[in-house]
Amino acid sequence: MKKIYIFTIIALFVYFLKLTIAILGYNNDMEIWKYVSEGMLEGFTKGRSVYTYTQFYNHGPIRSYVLYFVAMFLNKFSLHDMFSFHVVIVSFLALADTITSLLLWKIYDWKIALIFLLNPVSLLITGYHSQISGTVVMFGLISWFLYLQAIKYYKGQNSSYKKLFYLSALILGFSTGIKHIFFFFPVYLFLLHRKQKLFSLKEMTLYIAIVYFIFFGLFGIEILRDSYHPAAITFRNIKMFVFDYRAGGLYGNSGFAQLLQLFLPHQYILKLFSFLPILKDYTLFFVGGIITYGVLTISKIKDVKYLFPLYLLAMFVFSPSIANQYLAVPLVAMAVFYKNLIPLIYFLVSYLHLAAVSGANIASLVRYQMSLSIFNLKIPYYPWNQGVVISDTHSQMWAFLLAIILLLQIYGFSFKDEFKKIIRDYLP
Amino acid sequence: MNKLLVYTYLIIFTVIALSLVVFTSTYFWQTDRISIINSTYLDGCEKENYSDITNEMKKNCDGLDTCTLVTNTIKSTPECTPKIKVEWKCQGNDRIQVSYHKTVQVESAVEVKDMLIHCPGRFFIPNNSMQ
Repeated sequence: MKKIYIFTIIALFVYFLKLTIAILGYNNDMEIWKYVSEGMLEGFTKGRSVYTYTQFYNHGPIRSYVLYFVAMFLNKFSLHDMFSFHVVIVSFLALADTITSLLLWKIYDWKIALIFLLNPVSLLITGYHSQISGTVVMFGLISWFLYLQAIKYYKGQNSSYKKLFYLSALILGFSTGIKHIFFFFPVYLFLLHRKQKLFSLKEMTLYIAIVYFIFFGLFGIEILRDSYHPAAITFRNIKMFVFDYRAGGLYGNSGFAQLLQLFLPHQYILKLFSFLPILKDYTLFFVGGIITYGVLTISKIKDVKYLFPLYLLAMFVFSPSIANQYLAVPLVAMAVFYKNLIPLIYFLVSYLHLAAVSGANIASLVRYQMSLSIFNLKIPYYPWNQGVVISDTHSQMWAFLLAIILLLQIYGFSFKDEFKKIIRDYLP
Repeated sequence: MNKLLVYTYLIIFTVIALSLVVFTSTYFWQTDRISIINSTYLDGCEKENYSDITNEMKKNCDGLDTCTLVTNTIKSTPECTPKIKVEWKCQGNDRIQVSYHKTVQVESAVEVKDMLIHCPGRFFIPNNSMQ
């Protein structure tokens, strides 16, 4: 059978499975989405800004614009319930996952695309938790695809590279306007430019300026657009709820933060590293970790197409806070580097966490132990309860291990060869 | 080797995906009405004075969406603490059936033990709901 048919069948199966999972229920985040969409329907055209409407909105404003149209659509059909809202949201998010998978096929390999498409973490994060990270990764990957094409044309001295290059910048900027996952990616691109002399300095500077202009400009538009409150209030709220946001009390709870706490107590980290206004305490280590990882990998990377998944991996690994939806951030990296086997552990540990622990609440659907009998064959089913604590920090630590192994591989160290050598040395 | 690894990933992922299909499907097949399958004592306590607990449960619970069973006759003694396991289904499909079970220990200090059982429900609303 042709690969495209296999892909289509699996993609359709996964798409409808995610929609089916959506009808099991929802969590608190989805309620906030609905609250925002209703607020936008009521006041968007009159100049309501999401930042002065609710404190539960901590990203760029694009999602609030989209939620306005979603509310308009549902209102037209008199669908005001959570069930319809959740299904419509998941139908978009699941489509984004499918497009990401197609791009992975195009840029990397079809096996990678299949692993990403069918991975169980996306099934629960998109289907049940329904967060926006997967969609942001899709826009980031579209931008990256265009960037790689631009490199190809640039090296082939085809002048049409400029269109692709700037279109890539526009899309990357747009993605940061949804959620700032790729906020530091322009830094990686700049480092790559310095190392491999890709594009001129002027072009690269303009690329980076476009991305940050879109990101900060969208907040500027919100300040100007808000007719409900004075500009100073909107500005203050954006600062409080986006730039000073500390993951709803989860700041400092991640595996990486706990690793730092093995070296220095939490209070010391807060006190000693607060000399910079924005990059203070754990954030200093977060940004420092991402940039250092970028410098180390970019200086030795042979195939630049792997830079994108490496960035996503670093973004997740050095995060000072962690929540269920963050587990979706490194999925592209996990699929791309599937040969290391650690990604398989990551997928399984993360799935068990999502299915069993209260965050995604799949296991909480079943308040008692459950058995399934098919034609009288009885099997225990979802026997976990909240006492079985597989934490999201475990997932982060597996990802951390993968990041270190990949770095060593980039520097030419092969675990397989070294292992063989060690064994050989012990043999007579 | 590479092929084997890809198959490993895909087989594991497919099994998980199919298990989720079955999991979600069970919520369509079920109704909210309880149907007691069985109830048993799990310990070695004297049972001569106990009534037929399965029948007692059926009488109290079958056909309801929530049920509190009061086991009047069960008491703890210094020698033994009775444990009761109750198993029920939610009147779903007979071929593919989900059953639930719960074990309750009758506390020594309490003479009358209440046991709340119900069907899990099809739509989960979060505990930290805004509404």
